[in-house]
Amino acid sequence: MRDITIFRAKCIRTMDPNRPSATHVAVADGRILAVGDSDCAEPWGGGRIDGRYSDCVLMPGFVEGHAHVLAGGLWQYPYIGFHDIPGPDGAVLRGLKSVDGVISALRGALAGLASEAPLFAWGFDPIFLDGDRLNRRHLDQVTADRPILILHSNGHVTTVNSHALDMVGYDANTDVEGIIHFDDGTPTGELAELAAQFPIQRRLELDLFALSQTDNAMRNYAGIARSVGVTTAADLLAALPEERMDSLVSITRAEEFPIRLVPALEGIRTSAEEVIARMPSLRKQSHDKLRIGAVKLMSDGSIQGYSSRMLWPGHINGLPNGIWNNPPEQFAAKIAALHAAGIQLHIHVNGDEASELAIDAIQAALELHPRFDHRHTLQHCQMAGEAQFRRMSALGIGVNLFANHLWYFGDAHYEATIGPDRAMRMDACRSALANRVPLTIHSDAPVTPMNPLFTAWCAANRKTPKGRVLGEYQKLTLHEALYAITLGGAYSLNMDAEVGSIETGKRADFAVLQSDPMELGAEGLKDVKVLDTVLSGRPTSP
Amino acid sequence: MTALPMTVLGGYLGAGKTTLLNRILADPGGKRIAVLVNDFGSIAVDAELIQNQSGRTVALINGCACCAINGDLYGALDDLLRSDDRFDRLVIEASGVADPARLIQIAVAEPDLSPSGVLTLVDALNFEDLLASPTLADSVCRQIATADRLVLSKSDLVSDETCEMIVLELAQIAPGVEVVVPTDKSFVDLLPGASAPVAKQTPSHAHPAYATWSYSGPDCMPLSEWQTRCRDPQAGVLRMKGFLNDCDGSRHEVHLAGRHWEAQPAEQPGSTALVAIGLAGALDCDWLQAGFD
Repeated sequence: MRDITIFRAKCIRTMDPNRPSATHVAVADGRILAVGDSDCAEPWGGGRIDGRYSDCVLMPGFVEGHAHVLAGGLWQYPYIGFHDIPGPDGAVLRGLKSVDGVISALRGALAGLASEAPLFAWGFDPIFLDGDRLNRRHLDQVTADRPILILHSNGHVTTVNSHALDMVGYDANTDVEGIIHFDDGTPTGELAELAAQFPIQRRLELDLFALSQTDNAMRNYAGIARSVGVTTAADLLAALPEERMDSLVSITRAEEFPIRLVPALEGIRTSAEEVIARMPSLRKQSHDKLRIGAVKLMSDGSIQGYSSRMLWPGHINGLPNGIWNNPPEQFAAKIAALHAAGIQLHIHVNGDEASELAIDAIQAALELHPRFDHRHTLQHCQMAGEAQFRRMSALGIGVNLFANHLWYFGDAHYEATIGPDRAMRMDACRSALANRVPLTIHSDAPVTPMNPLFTAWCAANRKTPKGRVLGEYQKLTLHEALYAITLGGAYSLNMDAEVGSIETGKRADFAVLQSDPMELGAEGLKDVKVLDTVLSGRPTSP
Repeated sequence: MTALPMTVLGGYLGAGKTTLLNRILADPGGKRIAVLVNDFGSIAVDAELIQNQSGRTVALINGCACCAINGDLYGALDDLLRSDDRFDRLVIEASGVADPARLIQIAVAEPDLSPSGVLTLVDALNFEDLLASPTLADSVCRQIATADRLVLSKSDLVSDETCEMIVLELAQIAPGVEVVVPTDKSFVDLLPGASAPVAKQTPSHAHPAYATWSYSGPDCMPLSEWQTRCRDPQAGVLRMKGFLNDCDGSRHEVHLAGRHWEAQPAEQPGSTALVAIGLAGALDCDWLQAGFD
């Protein structure tokens, strides 16, 4: 006799057009057996009703198609950002709303540190704080006896105290790009370029890459994902070093590991030949909750860092075009080789010259090696216009748009980087759908906090903190936005046959919500609370 | 420890960066030189020169070393600075599209390094194509504009006339920067700031004086007439570009490089504005100006 559990809910939003809503879902062997009313399992001999979610709304577990395990690794250091964010244990961590708040949080963190250990903190975002911009003088109030290094949420900037500056001799006479100065010429402690940050980071032995290569980083990442209703999450730039594979496989396989993890092997440092050689053995280590097979490539930098590659007319402030990560012909050759080997590619492209290059390269690769359903996906793809979406459609390319940017960086794009015209159509969700380009949307955590319902809210409302609406036309409908964070994400990770909707045969992965997004409407998406998730039929709540 | 002088080697794919590095490693002129390359694939050090290889570093018996960057420049640099090996000089091979000026900032910032110039290689054979490429022109120009020394490679594969035009163009992109054509000896001396005095190697034809002619004003001229006039050997034009208003009301962006003529409809209105360059004594400014008088 099969063990059948029937979850009862106030409402189930299935994302399956055959049965858009239901009240019961029957689960057996970790999969969805039947969906419907209380008697949906009758043809199978009935089952045991589980009423724990009777007052809740169920949706398919959300799919985060672009984030990084580093989001879990950073948690070994204190968070000092402005926004409230979910912690790995599910509790919401309150944002700090003033510089004083940041200083006292740092003092608290210092008290818990071994003597002489440097103090690191992360998630800082000065643009939301009133008063003086946080600088070395503030940090010197915390301590002058040992180095402090603050990572800004944008990932590009750090602020350090005077002690750290003295370690490398930065003073009024140091003329290095990215060292920000006070009016008196002395450094403020803010360092805006890697070249300026490198001497201090190497002396403090801060290695962000290593931070993501620990068991705790993985568990924290999964914990954060679960707390926002995610049951399948990418790790979209994974080194997958051989010596880490055993623990990666066993940690993800453990019953208490609450998500399916989809690492995309980095193809940036590694040559196409090495990637192709490693892939068969990596693929073999995949299991239900670990899916290896795709590769990540990068072509340009970021728009807010003025390092993305843009077509005419470029930056509104006249700054020069950004920098290619690699010579375009080498990049195209890598795409061609990996494509020919049957590998799915996730390609980081921010500016529209970068997306154009990637589309050109995929087209050339397809002409040499025709391949159906390759599911190559352009990641971020923030500036693509209609013409590029038409080509993507013709070539079978999908897109994962950075909808969170609309909120977190939208005003900056409108005022400082690309100007109103292109800001109003950036992350062009409507253009993607209108041209039948498979669409999902993402957070790129830790760049912005992971929370698919918030990401869906961004795509459906396109609001900025200053009250702008960045393009009425590009708004998604409520249903489209929910589709993007469920089936849309599943499709981009090549898992749409298994997850992304609540229908018979699929894995029993659910997000348990306090209220019904369909009733609250698009504007209420960000206010929907996630209470729990279910993975393979098992509630993940501790 | 004394700061290690660091030179950045820029230049697009095919400009000869690897060839130059191979020659420097094979004959470092008694210096211990560490080289960071993008990947080992192309470095061809003689097997008998190799002392040992560990991880991404190959140590040579002549005291030099070659380390692979493999997409992680900062990691490779940190490894090098942490190692016990001591070097007289560090050369970093920039990726074909990197901005060398940004990379040299690392040596300005890092107390254990000192900046020792940007050397950018310019591929004479592909120079015009790269400048015409919408995706690459800005990157290539940036590498040239930020160089402390330019080395023209493959100049033996192009005509003297082309070579002259390239030198002219380089002078426009990077005014005052020395352009060197390498000979077969002492490649290590090509590095800017090398302690040995740098023998200035210039092509026999690279030091003529140049003259320019320009016109900016309301006058118009039929496109075909201007084409004939500025391409006439009498004019002595090596290079010409600008905007021409045709008397029929149309407006053209015009470009002449050697024998290569290009004209296309201009996107925006404006007055006629032209500039031409040629050898002093050969460029006939009166002849060109006559078209507008």
